[in-house]
Amino acid sequence: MNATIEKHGDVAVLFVPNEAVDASNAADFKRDLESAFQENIKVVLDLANVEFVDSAGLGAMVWGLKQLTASGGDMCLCNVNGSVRALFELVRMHKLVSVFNSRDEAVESFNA
Amino acid sequence: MLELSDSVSRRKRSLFISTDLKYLGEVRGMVRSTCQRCRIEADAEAIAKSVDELELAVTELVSNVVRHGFDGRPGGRLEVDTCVENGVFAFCLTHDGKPFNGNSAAIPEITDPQEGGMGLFLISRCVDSILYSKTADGLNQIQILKTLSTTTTTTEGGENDERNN
Repeated sequence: MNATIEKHGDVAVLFVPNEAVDASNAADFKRDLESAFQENIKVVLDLANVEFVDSAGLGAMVWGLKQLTASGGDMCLCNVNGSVRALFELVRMHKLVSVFNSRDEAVESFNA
Repeated sequence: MLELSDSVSRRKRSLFISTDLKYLGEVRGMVRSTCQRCRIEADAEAIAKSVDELELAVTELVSNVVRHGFDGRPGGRLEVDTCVENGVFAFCLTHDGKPFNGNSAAIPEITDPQEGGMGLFLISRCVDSILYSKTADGLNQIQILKTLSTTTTTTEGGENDERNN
């Protein structure tokens, strides 16, 4: 999947390049998360380019969040598009992870 | 393997794919284009929401069949048929893998996001009905129905579907 990482101080913003995160690439997505977590524990997942997520993609995000929180870190999401936001509402994703409207807001949340 | 064909009436579209998850995008594209080919008289925002829900439901369904019906092996064959009639979108998946009768499966109520096991819940929330059956020649068939509109639908070629109301 080749998600890119941009550092903002000690916060890593992981930009997901794919339009879809589904069962066809969820394993790649998990590997990208795992790789990012090796050097970062404060992570923002930027979903600006993602138009579709299924249960496998969602499951990978939940897995990533659990990995990070278990090691004392945290993850939040930003730039969540319409259909992805609807899925998050359906499964009550907000109970597990904070969702911000912009990358700046998400990065700032770690410094609050 | 990927083949797409339109029926003579232009109402029904068929897609033949191998049991490979890389074709999930094509299946979603077929759902979207089937809906776009029909001029449905309804609120555009409501239609967009319904199409998004259908894309999620069919993705979950095809994924489940590939992973559980064929144990993830890419050598099997799936037939996907879509059509819109009387404002109702129908999606039919036919396969010769291991059968799964979702009619008898308990659909878990998801109150928190999970790492797995959310597929059936999502399908149930996104469509009006799902029916599992066997064809006359013993193939497994799963049909999804979702109402897009209760008013007139017209195919792009100018054929009028019957009014529902």
